[in-house]
Amino acid sequence: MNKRGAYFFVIDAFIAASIIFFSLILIFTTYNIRPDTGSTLRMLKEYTEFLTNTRVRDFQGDYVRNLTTNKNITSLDNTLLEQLVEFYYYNSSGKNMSMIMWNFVDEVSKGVISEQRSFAVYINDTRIYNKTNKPLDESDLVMNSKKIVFHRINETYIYGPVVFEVSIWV
Amino acid sequence: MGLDFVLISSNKNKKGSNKKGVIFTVLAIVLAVFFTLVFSARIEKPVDYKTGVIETRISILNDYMESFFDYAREVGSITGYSALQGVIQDLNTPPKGYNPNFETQYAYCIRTGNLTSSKTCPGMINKTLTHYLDNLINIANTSLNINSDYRINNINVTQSTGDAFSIGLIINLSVDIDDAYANISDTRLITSIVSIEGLPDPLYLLNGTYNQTIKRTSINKPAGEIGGFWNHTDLQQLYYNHEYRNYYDGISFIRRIKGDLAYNINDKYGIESFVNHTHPAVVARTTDNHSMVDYLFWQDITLPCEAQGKNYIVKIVNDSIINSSGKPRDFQLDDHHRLNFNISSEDAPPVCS
Repeated sequence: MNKRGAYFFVIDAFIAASIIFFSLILIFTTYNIRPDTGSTLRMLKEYTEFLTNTRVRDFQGDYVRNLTTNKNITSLDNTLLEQLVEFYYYNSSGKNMSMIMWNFVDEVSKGVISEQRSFAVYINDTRIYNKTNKPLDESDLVMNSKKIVFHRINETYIYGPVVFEVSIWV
Repeated sequence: MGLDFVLISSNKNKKGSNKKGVIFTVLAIVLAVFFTLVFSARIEKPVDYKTGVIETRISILNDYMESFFDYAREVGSITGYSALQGVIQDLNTPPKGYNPNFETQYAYCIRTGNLTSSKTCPGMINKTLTHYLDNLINIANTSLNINSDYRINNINVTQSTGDAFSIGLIINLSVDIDDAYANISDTRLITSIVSIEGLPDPLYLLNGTYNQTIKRTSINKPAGEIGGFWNHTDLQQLYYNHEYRNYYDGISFIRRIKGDLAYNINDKYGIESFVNHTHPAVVARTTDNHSMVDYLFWQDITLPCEAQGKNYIVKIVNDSIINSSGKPRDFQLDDHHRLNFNISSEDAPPVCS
């Protein structure tokens, strides 16, 4: 009788432990896990602010410096975003600037957009830069930032407004 | 938990322990199911779960508001320049004449593309401030889904920009944004600086028989009052390159448009140039009493041609300063300007001596 009782209590203990174990698994797996949008959102915001507030003369990058030397950049007082819009304006006017725009964005994004993130830059829905670590349709999180931008070309002409868009996905 | 109950009960009462064990086991299952339901139903959705989205949207709206005023400031300069071209073109359209109502008509031209309710401002199609701002509103609506509207409350025109070669537009502008997350309104005074370089000089346009555009001199010296640092080399550059300099006794650009050409001691934005003394129309008009300073010459202001204790006319006889060899007349200046350019009386004696 004692032996049978002991078996019973051991089995009972195992059953109880199993119930607790599976309950805990059930509890933790049923939590609604959402991807953390905070850091990506912050990155997106900081990137746009960086492009908007940094002047070409303050940016220390070899490629940008070469563009200045080659006279592809004529005003050091332009912000990086204004400069990009200027390139886009010349590109729209028939002068092929697509390679310059690509390399320009590539350089100014280093250190601001983390290497693990994929991202693309568009002006007026035209993609001018793309870095893909993960295909967009397989991503868990896609965040977009849109901003209206313009650039004064000379005394009598202003280019824009155009829509500048950055997409980041992970 | 169920395990503890079972162990305790087994120590106290061995009889009927099978039945009690089943009860406690069932109780444990019930409790486990209960806690499972309680915790699994607690989906992570804090009360402020939407705050991030709202903050982001409001940040976009604020950013748009700043962009709107920045854009208005920039296009103010663009449209202001086009409107100046229009106003000056109108001056030259018969019946030619100065425009004493310049400020009112100019502001109206910037806003509507008309000088008055019955007179168009030349060259302003698709260049008005309203056109540019409407364009921005439409793009914001289609691309960012932002509904906004604006009002141009007032436009003031001023010469006092700190620079004689630009005029200022002080635009009182209100912007309203109507969005599901926030309604934002703001009214600001924005100042657009309009360059006058490259525009025809009304003085030449209305009085001369040749046109001259405003070209700022590259000489970087204080406004040319007597006692400055100007010399005859500067005069050469101004004359031969048809350049203008800031000169306190000169006539500012707005006053040139309005025909307000009287000497004004308070006008620190006066500019001046020198007429081409070899041009046939100038030669035909020049007497011994004319100075080649533009506002004196085109107004036909004459001065004595010999020193009589007042300002008088001198002629530059040194051809290395201004070459007049073979020309009907020497280059003439009033004595104040001779002193200002530090030219000796030997190089520039009185015309009648």
